[in-house]
Amino acid sequence: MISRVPLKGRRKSGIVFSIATKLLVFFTGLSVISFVIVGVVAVINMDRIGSFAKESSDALGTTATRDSVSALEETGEAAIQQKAIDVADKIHIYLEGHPGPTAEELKNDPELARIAVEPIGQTGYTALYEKETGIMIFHPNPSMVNYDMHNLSEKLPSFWMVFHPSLRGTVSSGYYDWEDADGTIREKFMYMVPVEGTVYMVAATTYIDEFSQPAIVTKNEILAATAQATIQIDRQISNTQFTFRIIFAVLLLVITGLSFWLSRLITNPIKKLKMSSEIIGGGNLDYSVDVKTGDELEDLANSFNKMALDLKTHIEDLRRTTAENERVQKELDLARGIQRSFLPESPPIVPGFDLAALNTPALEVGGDFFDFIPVSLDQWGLVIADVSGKGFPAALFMALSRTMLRANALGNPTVLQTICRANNMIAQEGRANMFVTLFYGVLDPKSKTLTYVNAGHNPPFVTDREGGDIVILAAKGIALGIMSDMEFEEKEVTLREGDILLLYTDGVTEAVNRKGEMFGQHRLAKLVEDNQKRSAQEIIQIIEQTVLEYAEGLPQFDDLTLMAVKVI
Amino acid sequence: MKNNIWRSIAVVVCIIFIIAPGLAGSGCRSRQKVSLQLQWITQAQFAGYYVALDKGWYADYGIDMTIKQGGPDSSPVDLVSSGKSDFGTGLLSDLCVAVEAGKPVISIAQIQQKNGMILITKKSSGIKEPQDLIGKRVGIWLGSWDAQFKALMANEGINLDSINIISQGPSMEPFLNGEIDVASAMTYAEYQLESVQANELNIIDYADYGLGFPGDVLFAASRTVKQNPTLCTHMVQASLKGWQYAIEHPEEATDIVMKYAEKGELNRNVQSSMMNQISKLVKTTGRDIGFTDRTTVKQVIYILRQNVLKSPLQPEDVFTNYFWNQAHQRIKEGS
Repeated sequence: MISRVPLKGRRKSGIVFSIATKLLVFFTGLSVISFVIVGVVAVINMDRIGSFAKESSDALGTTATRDSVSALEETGEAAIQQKAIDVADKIHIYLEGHPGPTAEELKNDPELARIAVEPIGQTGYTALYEKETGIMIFHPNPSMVNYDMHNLSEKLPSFWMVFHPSLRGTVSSGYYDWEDADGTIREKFMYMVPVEGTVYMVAATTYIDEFSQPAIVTKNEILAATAQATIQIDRQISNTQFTFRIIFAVLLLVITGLSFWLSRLITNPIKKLKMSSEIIGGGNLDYSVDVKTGDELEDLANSFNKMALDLKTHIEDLRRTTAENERVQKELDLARGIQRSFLPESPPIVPGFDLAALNTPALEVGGDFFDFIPVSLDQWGLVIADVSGKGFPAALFMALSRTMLRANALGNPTVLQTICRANNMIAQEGRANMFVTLFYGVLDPKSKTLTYVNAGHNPPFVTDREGGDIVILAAKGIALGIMSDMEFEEKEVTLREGDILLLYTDGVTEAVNRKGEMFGQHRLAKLVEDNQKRSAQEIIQIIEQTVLEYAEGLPQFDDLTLMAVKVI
Repeated sequence: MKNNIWRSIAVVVCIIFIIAPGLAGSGCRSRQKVSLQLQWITQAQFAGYYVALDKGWYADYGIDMTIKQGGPDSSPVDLVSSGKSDFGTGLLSDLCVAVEAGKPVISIAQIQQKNGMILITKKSSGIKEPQDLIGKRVGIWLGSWDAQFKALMANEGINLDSINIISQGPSMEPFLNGEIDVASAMTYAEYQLESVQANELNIIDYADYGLGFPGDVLFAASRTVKQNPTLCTHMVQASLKGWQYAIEHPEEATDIVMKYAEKGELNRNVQSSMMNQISKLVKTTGRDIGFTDRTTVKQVIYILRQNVLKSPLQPEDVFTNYFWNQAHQRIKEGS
């Protein structure tokens, strides 16, 4: 079961963002930022274009109107000036043609009044007044006749500013504000000129807007048109901006949706894989992930499925191997049991001899055996053997060999005959090219002689109590079971008191230490000589212990089989 | 995990809506650096602005004000229209000429209702009125400043060729040592000089001949007027407050001017009398401080058109009372 505890160290503290979130933020952020930049630039430019259009049309209208108004006003000023000069000239001519009348008489001269007061346009007129006194003599408005213009000095300061210099009899002109009867203030232009050689001044005045009116009308039309255009432009801009915002909102939604979809597209398979790994981890090896994205993720899923499949195969292999091992182990135990059951539990008691034997099985069953066979009432056959091969077949072959040997040896003290027969029987029965090396000797307690045959086995040796030469019990012969009717050599050795006869298998001499050096026959013989005085049992135990120490704990592949016979 | 995704969507959306309006452009309202370019050195002629600065009235409107003094070579119109300064001062008539020449500037307050320009003669010369100028050596400031003189001569029917017009500089020496018979003077400046000895002089006042021009205006670049009307309103409001106070407290105003002037540059007595004369030009009967009278401007343009201006010009091109009205509206509302 896979643990669900988050892997420590991989996650940093604080907020943890999933891949989906990262992708979402990245894609949305990227597109939104670019869109915002474009949008802002567009909106600003739109505003600029709009205000430029407005300003230029405004400026056009203003300039055109200003120029027209100025031109028309100048025309008006010229007309007023001209009229004032004309009327002054006419009065001058009239007075020169009519000399004599007093000032009082002139005031009542209707002809002079007709000349002096002339209309200009619709609202303009000329008037006649005296310089210095400022008394109005002729004016279209009867109430102004005989009016002292000084009275206006404070009431209409701008008028007075233009008017008062003329009281000194000089030309004066300019703009001023005039208050109409209804109280409205309007701008007037006035030109004052003296009548040559008299105390009289002619003033010509008009509302200047009478002249500039057409331009004012045009100006208003232009202003209206500009205002209209401005509204139109503003509306257009706000429409466009609105459209832009809508597009922005829609795009934002679409981008967010797409990012969301895209992130799911990537993370869903990953989530599936995560879930599957948990399921497979839970033991369901038949589970398979279904990702059809057509990209690396599908490859990953396929690898994942393959991994699950491989895992399954491997587990089955493991299971099979385990079963096999168990079977082999069982077989081995069985073989070991067979081997053990065929070994004598204890050595026989032979008068004048001390006998001991042991067999330490290796990891696998080696097929070594030893035996004490009663061949007559007081004679004992001693056997040590090593079967070729290992394991169950070796155990079985050992059983076969022992049985055959025993069958021929029981009650038959003839060593050579026993071996020849046993060989023939084993060779006939044994198949699978198995054989057994064997040393067989018959011990006669009375004569203290050992008659023996060596069938290809490690030759036993006899050590002398007096420290004499070691006698090696070698004889011609090959391993039993190779073929029938083989020839063997029978030999005899006489034992003396204190002699020790040691039989062994190659598991003893071929024990290997860590340097790869074998224990060897020499070391074995020395070991026996050194312990000459000990009992047979003690000697084989010392040998076993020494060999095991020599092997330094390395696993031994061959059985360790020993037999010691000490002459008492 | 799902919650995580929705949470991050929310975060992204929030960020966008917070950032987007910021990107679209918005400023912060902190103190704004503003400069006022004078056409002459620090003196009582500009008392109102220094009072407003000293009293912290510009700061009250969020204006971080720097007043830059000028001199003979400085042109506030050029400095303002090029954007090196935000506001400037100068004569209305000069401004008319500048606007006609296409400079993007406009007057936002008429500080001096009269310019105080006069002609002075020594009593001993016997010159009393325009007709007496015939055949005399007359010192005139040329440029737009001679428009009043030329108009006067035209009205009086005097041919300019009959007068020996001499270009007058800033110094009064030529007049004092008799090189010229008549000199141009400002009531608040040259006329106040101790060396000039006012009681020994005759005065020909243009205003007496219907040719009184308004004086100094406070002007701004057209672009400032369009783009930052609030600043203009605040500028007018604080400046007028300063002028009102300066007129009501001329001695304190003089002290403030002395404080801001370079050390040893000014004579306090001269400044004090200048302050009094300036007050007369700023506060006139029947006019609110800073208000621009359209007809007066029209009259100025009319006169300038006789021999200075070449192309058409309307009062609206030169001034606006919009900010004055806004400022008064606010004063009435008590803000």
